[in-house]
Amino acid sequence: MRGAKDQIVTPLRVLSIGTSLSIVLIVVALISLSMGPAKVSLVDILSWCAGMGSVDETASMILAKIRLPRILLAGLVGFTLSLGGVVFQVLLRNPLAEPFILGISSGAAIGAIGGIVLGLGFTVGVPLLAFLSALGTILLVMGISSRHGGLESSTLLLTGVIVNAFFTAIIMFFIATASDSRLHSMLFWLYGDLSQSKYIQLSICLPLVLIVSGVIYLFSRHLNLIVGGEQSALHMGVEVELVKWVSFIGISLITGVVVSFSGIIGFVGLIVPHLMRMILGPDHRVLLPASALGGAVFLIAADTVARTIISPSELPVGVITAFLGAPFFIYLLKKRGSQWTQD
Amino acid sequence: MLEEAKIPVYVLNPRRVTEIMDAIESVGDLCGVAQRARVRVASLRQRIQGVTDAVRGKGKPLVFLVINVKPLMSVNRNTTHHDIIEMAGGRNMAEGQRITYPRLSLEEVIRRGPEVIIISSMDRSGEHERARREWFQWDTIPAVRKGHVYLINSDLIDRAAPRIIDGLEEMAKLIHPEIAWNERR
Amino acid sequence: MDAGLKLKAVSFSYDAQWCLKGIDFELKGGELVGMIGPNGSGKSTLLRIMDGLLKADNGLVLLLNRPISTLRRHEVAKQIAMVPQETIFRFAFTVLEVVLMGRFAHRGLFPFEGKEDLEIARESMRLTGILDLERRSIHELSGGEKQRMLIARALTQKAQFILLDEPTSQLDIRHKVEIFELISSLARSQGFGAMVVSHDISLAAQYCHRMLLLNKGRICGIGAPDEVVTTDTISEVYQCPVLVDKNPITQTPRVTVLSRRAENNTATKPLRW
Repeated sequence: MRGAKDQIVTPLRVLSIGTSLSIVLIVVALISLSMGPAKVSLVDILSWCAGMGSVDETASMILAKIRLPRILLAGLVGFTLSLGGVVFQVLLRNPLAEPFILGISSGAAIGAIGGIVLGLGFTVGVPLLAFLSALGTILLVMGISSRHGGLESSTLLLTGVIVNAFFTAIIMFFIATASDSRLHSMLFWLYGDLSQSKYIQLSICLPLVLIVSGVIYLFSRHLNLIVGGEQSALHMGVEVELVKWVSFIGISLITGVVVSFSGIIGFVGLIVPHLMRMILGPDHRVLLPASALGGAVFLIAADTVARTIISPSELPVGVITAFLGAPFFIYLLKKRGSQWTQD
Repeated sequence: MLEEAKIPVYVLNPRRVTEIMDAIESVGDLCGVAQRARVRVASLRQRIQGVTDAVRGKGKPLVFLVINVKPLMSVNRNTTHHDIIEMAGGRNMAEGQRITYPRLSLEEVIRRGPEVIIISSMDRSGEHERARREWFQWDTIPAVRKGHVYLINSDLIDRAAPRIIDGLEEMAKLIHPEIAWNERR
Repeated sequence: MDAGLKLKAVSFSYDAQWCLKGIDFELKGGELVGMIGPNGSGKSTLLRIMDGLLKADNGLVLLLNRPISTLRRHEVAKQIAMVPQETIFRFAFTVLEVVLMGRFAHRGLFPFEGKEDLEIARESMRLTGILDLERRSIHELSGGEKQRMLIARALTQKAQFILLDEPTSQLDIRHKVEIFELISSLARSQGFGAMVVSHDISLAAQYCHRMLLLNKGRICGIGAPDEVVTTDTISEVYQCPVLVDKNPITQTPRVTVLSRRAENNTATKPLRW
């Protein structure tokens, strides 16, 4: 699908892809705004956005305080996880990588569950504990894996897997011994829940995500070169260790932040990068923004399905992403299996 | 398994308050204290009658019973909780749901606009007090606007036991605060 | 431009297992040097020390008369290019995209290549004869084409020195010759200095100005091919009976490995190894 395009990636190409995806994002967000138990038509949405009041008080409150922050959080989480997925897949040289693979998921979960057990609130207490715990976990994993100041991919992966397994065991212990109400809250968080979104949370996440994304984008050519092997990249002038440290810490930071508010939503960081790479090619100058925006679209759509498909009840969004993700995964393995084993 | 051990087993699964009354009597029979059981049940039935009489004709406000805060969960008609709400003179907002303990979206609650919100909690740490106050921002809900957001001790309504009548009385006071309950004693 | 890539009294060891010791060597512009030696003698390690990827324990590696350890990676990359034995790209880039990667060190922070970079890349591909493969996915290339692509990539770095780590090991005889021809003519026309690590001793001897024989971490021979490649040295260093004579056509040393039978038949003096 790439053959007919420009010879090389130019700023124009990046801008045009970025703009198209942004438009898609806005359209999807508007459609999502119009969906839910309380019926609001698209036309009304548009006029509401323009500040004109053709929507009643209840609907307006639902839009402003429930749906909009939720959509914004979904977009932000999808953006962050997909961006992280691209970066981790290159740096760990593993197509199955996503930001949770190094232990952030279980690390954050332990913090969150601890917060729930202690009875902390979901606005500040639980997210804070989740974030600190995630950060601690990633530093632990990186600390264990660093040798002579360098980070080795396979060591990172293994350490991450072991840490994940160990923490999961602890989590299962908590779940097994939890009282009823706590149990529901824990499971709710573990499956991913975007319904608690508040503007204050978004205002913390957004600038961080934008800054880290900007820094990572500056590394896009570096990432291209690292695809050919770390040694090759070093020979051509890339400071590979620097790229790795900054990327791992940066991505882990923003992943930890968003996950502390949204819970664990899997598969987004895995599917979207692959999908985008198949359509747009492996050049990271295109892939990074495309995956990030694509991830935002994907998660907004998935969350919309999650909250409307069995209305007025809701499914956890992690169920929808897994439902879409698992078959896609199998398809990936069958189709591209040969490419990944080209060792 | 117990049956295999030759221990006599009697299965109880009451869904309605009347079934609870019957169950108490049955257990009394089985345990050889039938007379005491009947006396007890008679007094409980009297109290039930007292409540249902008091709320008759006083309107049936829409009640949203929250049995879990995160996620938001309520009860459908196949529960004793539902029975209690009805007997206490209210209408259970989630009665028509297919799942027994359904998760509801906040949006749905706002859309339906219950007049009374009751949060069932076994918590003593103030956590649910916080949850109660969180409702105050959704001020288009009638219950919020009128300040009818309450906590109830889940001990009173979760168990299929005589205590449930205490729960019934408590619930009736919350749903119909306009009735002068003290004078009726 | 005249300052070579100098190694002075360089030594290095991996976990005290074995080491490179006492390496004194200079690679000059315009020359083609062939590095030979048995497996495990330290050839790849030495290449990586020359490129600054590994830090020597003792001694100095000087690039442009500055210690290589004081230079940033991209500064080194502008002077030294490496053609690895093979490279694994997990994702399908096109040939042009890979060749363009060689321009990395010259680009700075701005993430997009310009017209000049594109021209340099295309020129490199023309020189290596792969210009028509520009849009091909790298996963569709043959071994020879891949090697030529990697050489083209190294050329776009516009470096003074190019190091090649066994560039012909995966190739058939025709392509082996093609690669050597290419490197040799490019070194002459473009003026860079090249160090080729190879197991094809005879072939290397036909093209290289100098040969460097490495054994157990030490240089045991450096000079013109016919000085370094002799029956005694080769059979001793490689621990294998060989016969080295002069190729009648090229007048360069020709190495023939002897089977047991042949060895018993030989009329020359017994071989020590």
